[in-house]
Amino acid sequence: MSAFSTAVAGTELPSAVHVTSTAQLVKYAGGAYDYSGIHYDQDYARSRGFSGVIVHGFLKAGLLARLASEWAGDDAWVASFTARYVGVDVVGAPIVCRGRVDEVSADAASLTLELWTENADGAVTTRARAVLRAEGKQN
Amino acid sequence: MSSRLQSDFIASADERVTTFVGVVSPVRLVRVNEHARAVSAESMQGIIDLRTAHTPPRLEDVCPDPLVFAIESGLPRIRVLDRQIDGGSSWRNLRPVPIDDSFYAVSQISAVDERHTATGRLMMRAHYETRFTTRRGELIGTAIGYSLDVEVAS
Amino acid sequence: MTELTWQAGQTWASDPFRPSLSSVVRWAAGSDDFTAFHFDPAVATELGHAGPVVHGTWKASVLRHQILGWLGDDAYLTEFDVEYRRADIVGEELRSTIEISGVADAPGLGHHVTGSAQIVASDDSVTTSARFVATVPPTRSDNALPIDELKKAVRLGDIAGQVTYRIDVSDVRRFRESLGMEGEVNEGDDAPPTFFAALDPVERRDINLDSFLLDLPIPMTGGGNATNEVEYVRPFRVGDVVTVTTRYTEVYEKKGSRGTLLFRVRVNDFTDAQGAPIAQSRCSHVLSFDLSSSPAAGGQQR
Repeated sequence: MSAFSTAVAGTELPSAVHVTSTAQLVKYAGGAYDYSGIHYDQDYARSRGFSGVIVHGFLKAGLLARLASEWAGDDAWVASFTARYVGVDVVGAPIVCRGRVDEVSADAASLTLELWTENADGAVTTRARAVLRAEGKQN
Repeated sequence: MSSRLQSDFIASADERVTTFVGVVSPVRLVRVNEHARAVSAESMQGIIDLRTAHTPPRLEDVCPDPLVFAIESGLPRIRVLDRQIDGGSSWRNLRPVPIDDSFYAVSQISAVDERHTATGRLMMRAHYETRFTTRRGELIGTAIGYSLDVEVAS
Repeated sequence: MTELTWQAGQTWASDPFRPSLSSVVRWAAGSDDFTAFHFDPAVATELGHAGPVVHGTWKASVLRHQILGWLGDDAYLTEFDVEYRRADIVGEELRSTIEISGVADAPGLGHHVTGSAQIVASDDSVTTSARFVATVPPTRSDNALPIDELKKAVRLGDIAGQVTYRIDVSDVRRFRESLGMEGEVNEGDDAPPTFFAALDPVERRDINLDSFLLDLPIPMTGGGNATNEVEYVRPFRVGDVVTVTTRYTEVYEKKGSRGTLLFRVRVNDFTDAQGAPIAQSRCSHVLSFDLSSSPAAGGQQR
């Protein structure tokens, strides 16, 4: 029995902790073709009004989506994903990824996850929702 | 980039000059000289609106003679035909010139082209191009000085 | 945004002016060109000139400043080409003329004004000839964001752009690695759920219509993606050739705790090589500005 098939509203996902580094931000910049200097250039980030180099919002979304898809395994796929960035994460600090099942469809073929990241101060910095579906992945 | 004023030049294949294409000068660190700018502005007093001399500097202010600027960096002046004349200058500004910081200048003979005058004399034109970049590697712009090497009528 | 007053065909002419020895000496000092024939009559005569010869570079400088004086305080030259046709002697009367040959819209920058200028001697011969492209910035308020200009620049409501990307094994592998995901990637494999970020032409700067916002003379206090949403018909897969059509759907500002927030919302439609939909994303990006402080002196030009 997989995590996906036994999930009910309120089921907690196992948490994951990621510690970012400038090297990882550079890797993400290359992987996503987002070369904005706020993610690797300290002087430039400050000129844009940040306290220093910040983690890409999309990178945090990627870490949360990874949490969801690894929890679902081969049993389901992410059919929709929404992320809202409510706080900044500075490079180098640990980011905790958490999630819980929000609701399960009547036929148990899909469920909605609530996902979020917490920064080193325990503040929520990203709020996300993912809809996982067991089938319907058109070819 | 080429001067739009004379567009009928074609790339030269003359080995006496193509051997110079690509020659690069040593890198120089330069800076806006506010005193020089002020004295230059005074030279135009009564002729121009002096407010225009207080706008942020452009490469034309840093490098009013791109040909001399490039040759002073150590690039050779090509002298193959009879007479060498100043062929004009071109500037392209992409970014503001740094005011409080120095910036890099690298000069190069970037191209040699040629044409024949109306009376059939050969005219070769060497492009002495300087690229200016900030200390962060961003391109400020380029300045080209054109050196004309011309045949004199016999 | 004010109406632009410049049009092709407009001309300007200077009053007559005479370069004096005093001008030449100052220009020699300012440009570090002390070649003697510019100020020594004997040397000039020996070289066959009627008198000391005005620096060509001085004439170019006069023309540049006359162009800027005519086009206005905020105008700046992006391109300038000059040719020195004939020597002019110190003390001789000269005059300049400028003509505009074209005006083009430059969204986010203002307008590009193209034209020519020349210095003419008393015998009506052209001694110095120039061609220029000047940028005339739009009139902007110092303490308000250029919303209308921004809406026009991003083509609000219309298609902002369309780009095609091929998803290769290495693209997905690199993306997975950057998220700390291990394992092999093969042709046909599903890409991770946020891979739509790597196919966003605005994130990739393949569509870059609002970058002028970063050059406004208003201090910035942060910003970044505000929200990212995606809905899939199916996951992206290695081997897909994806066409992305981007439309900006909203541009608005909102007062925040740290400044004025400027939101730009865009929708991307992702289709496969046959034109079938794969996904749709909606992304909101925010830039935060501090409108309370006074702008930097002189503004910021490009």
